[in-house]
Amino acid sequence: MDTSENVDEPHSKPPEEPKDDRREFLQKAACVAIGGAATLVPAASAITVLVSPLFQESVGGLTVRLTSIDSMKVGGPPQLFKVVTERKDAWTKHTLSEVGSVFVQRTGPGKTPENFLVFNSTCPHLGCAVEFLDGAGSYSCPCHDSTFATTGEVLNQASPSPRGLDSLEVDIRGDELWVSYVNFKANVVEKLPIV
Amino acid sequence: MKGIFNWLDQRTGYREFVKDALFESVPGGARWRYVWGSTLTFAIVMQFITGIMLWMFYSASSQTAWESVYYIQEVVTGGWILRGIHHWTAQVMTVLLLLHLLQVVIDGAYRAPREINFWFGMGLLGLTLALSLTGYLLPWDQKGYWATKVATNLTSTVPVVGDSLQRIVVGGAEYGHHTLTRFFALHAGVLPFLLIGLIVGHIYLFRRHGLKVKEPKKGPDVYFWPDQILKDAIACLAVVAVVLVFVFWQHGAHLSAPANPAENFSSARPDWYFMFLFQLLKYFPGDETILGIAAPIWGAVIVPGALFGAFMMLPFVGAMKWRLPVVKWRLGDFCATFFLIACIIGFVALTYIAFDNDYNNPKKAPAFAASLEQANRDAARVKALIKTNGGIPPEGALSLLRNDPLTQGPRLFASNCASCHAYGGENGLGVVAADTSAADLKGFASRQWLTEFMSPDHLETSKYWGDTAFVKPEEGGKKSKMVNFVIDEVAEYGDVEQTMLEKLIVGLSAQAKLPAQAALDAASSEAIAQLPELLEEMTCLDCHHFQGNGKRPDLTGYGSVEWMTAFVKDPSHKRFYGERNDRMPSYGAVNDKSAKLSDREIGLIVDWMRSPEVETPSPH
Repeated sequence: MDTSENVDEPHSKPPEEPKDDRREFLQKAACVAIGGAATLVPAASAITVLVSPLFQESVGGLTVRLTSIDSMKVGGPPQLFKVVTERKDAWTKHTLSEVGSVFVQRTGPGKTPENFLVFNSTCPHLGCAVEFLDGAGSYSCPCHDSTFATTGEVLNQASPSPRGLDSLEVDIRGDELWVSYVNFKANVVEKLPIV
Repeated sequence: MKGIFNWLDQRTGYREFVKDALFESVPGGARWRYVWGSTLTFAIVMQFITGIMLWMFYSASSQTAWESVYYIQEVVTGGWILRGIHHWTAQVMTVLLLLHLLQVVIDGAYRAPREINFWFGMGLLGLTLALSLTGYLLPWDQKGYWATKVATNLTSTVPVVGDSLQRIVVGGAEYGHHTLTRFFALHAGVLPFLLIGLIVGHIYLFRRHGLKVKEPKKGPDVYFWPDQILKDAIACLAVVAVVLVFVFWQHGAHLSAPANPAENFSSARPDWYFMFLFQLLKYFPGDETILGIAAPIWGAVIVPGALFGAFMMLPFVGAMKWRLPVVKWRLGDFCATFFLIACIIGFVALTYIAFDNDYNNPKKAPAFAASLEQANRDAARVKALIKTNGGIPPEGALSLLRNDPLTQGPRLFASNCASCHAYGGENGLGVVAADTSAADLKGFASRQWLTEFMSPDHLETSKYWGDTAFVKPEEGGKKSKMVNFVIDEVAEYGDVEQTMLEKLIVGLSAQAKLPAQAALDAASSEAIAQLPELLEEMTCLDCHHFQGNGKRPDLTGYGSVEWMTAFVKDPSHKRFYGERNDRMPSYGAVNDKSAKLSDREIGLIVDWMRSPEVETPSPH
């Protein structure tokens, strides 16, 4: 089979003829405009969905039942409670979902919010989960060694956390302890709720 | 600024690269027939951009795939446009590929020295079709699920290794999580990777051999930039415009109901460009052998494989230089063009026959249309249920349909009740009921239903008891007392008694607490309060039971959820027909017989019959 006829077909070079500059400029501009318009469609649609999380409403503060007041010992150590609530995660609706945890300490016998200290268990530094150390009688973050007093203040000068533990608003409903569960922006001095 | 570019150029030589890319010679001037390759490259870029964005939302598992696609399509701002562009560009790409192939064959661009590039192109065609096939399954809807099942079942027809191959493709013995993860890895990983490799090779070889010029040349030679690029850009814009027309016309891309292995979807079809293969298979029935090889292997593997192989041989066919007499056409060109035209005719004909069969064949089209309509109804229904529910349960969207009376009621009715009962003259699923032998249950216990039931003009028609043993007793038997009562006594009613009957019907119907009649019932409290006296006065209680008085069938709570559920479970119970029951089976567990239907299923039928338009289903 003879296939040599087209092999090594030389590249012909267009002759360098005098160019009409204006025509060529218009042609190039049209290329950019038309090609740009065509590319814009998938690009714009992609960017719209890429940034769509910016326009989604967050669930915001949730008021959640924690426990019955009588089960909390006056002056006892802080106890960790899971925050369980209905939650929507994109398309999924969880009827009972664990969304976080809080430390609760009962400081006095009264059944008013002033007798309870409630903290979000998330470290204000970079979001690790804080533990309560019984022996030391203080909160400690296992990640970067921030330590906090039972009142929530930063204890140790070496603690990297910019602020104390984030206290949460308590609500007494009959004999039950409820809390407004909010997360806060990490690693800033001010306590800024994430909404 | 110039300094930076100089710095960059000294280190990368990009200027030379750009110059080579842009200043390729186009002998004979820019032409529209050269645009196909560029439009395809552009379409692939669009698929990469939109595909990666879809990837950010997609979740490959059998409980989240449909759900995440639903979320893109219905919730994410602009999500339906994104998904629509991806879907419709895939469709348009297939057309562009065919046009490109057509142009290459007609212009003789497949001949030496471009054989390898032609093979690269055929490889790209195969990869694109593989991308379409794998992408079709990813939404995990009824359409993709059942259509892809056919495709993967075909792999099992491959001799010797077929079964193992199928298992590897499917990721196990059954469709599930791993089918999706595998198809997704192919669709978003392996195939695009190979595609890029072949495209790079394809463009490299294209540049190496230069453009195959269509003779005669139309003008002086020009450079690729800007002359040909302008035409390419306009063509790309046209491609985008066509895609957008489809996107807005179809509101993105269709998403049918969530995949349900238990709900056969007989109208599942592959994408239109696979319909010729779908049709081809019909000519190779599974119980036949050709030359000792099972027919489906011919239809699925040998014939399509041979066709693809023939395409791959085109460069050699096209090399035949001898010219035909008279027309002076090169034999190679003649054969290649003839082959291509034959393939196109075959493709169009098979595709036409396949669609014609689905839409115009009087024997098959109605079932196809009914199946399609049901899938569309389910798709719309599940979307409505998600809105009512405020989201999708973690176990997936299918669970919403599974527990929905409006979805399941008609199906259960059709398969369990419709051999005797009609529902508005149909079987519950839109098929006209024939040969029914018991009452039409649409509107059962409503005022209208009872009014007709109690009317001598209607009771003996086949819409009510006309075909039952109550009207047509077996030899030696008697008509039921109820029938005699209506025929003999109600027929003689004067105005006063008629008014009493109307009131009684209002009261009796109110027992059912039908949602559709709630407003009417609330406005008729006076008549409803008189029910016990009216039943007594009109001699109903001579036979019937009501709140502790009289005999059966029990009219206490007539037509209510409790009454209907108990009735369906055991119509032969002494509370209902007792031994006078005419053929109706007990659907619940009775004595030592196990139940035909679970309590949940009976509940779904009852809920649907009582309120076929129900918006918020009660839980079962």
